[in-house]
Amino acid sequence: MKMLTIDDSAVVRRIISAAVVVLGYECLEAESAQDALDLLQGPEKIELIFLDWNMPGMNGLEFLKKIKQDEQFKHIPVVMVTTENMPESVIEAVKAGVSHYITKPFSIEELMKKIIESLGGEVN
Amino acid sequence: MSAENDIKKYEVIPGHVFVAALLESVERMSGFVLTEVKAFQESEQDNEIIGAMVLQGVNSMLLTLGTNKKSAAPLVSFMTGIETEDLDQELLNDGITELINMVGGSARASLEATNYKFILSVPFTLVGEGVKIVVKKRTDSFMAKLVCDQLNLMLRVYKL
Repeated sequence: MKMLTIDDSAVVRRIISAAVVVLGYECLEAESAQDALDLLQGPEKIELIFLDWNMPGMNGLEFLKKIKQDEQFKHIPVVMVTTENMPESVIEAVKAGVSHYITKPFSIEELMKKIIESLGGEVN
Repeated sequence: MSAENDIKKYEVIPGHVFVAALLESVERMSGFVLTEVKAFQESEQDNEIIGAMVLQGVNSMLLTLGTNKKSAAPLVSFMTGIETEDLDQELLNDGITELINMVGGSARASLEATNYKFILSVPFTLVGEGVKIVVKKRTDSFMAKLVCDQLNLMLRVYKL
């Protein structure tokens, strides 16, 4: 199973990729929403997306709305990983279709729990 | 009661909010537990990498996090799982910038119902030898030094 992390911070992409790999999955990285759209159009089958909100160019919310309107990609669960921690931001993201919402800073344990939840698994 | 009466008023920069946000961000992202040093002198070495962002509101501020490569390396290493010797300057800069972004985000939520409510700019990094942020005399500012065995971080907030 392949996952995709979209964040303009290489450090955050690395943290998420490491957690995904520990759980036994593969993680691709994109440093912008546009790069992610290009990657989605390619041969890789992505089954979970981690998405930052505040990025140069297309922001995470715009990306989310775009893929949720696309028959090809709208089924892919999206986990928002962001410093946007105001309640109205969370509501806006949920309305736009995010499956889970993680606010930065987060611990690696929280991140892994959300990944497992997003995949429909049980968490002890 | 009107919304105006619900707003908590701070006379000076609420520095404790930013310190709490930094402590939480570093501990959650890296596991390091920092303590605040009460008496300290500024050092140029604290400024090798400065993560910064503008907090824009009625009381606009510049928020910065200064450190040196010796501190940034273990911090980013524990955040990412990358060995310190494999970290390049770009990753160190990115790690400090991402931390200041998290501090700004956490503080924003804490200060939402105060006269220090703000919106965040994009975070950025100042890098180089002898970098200094110089502000006009009598500018309201806050400074805190936070340390643990391997880390030495300088948090500064300037009212703009």
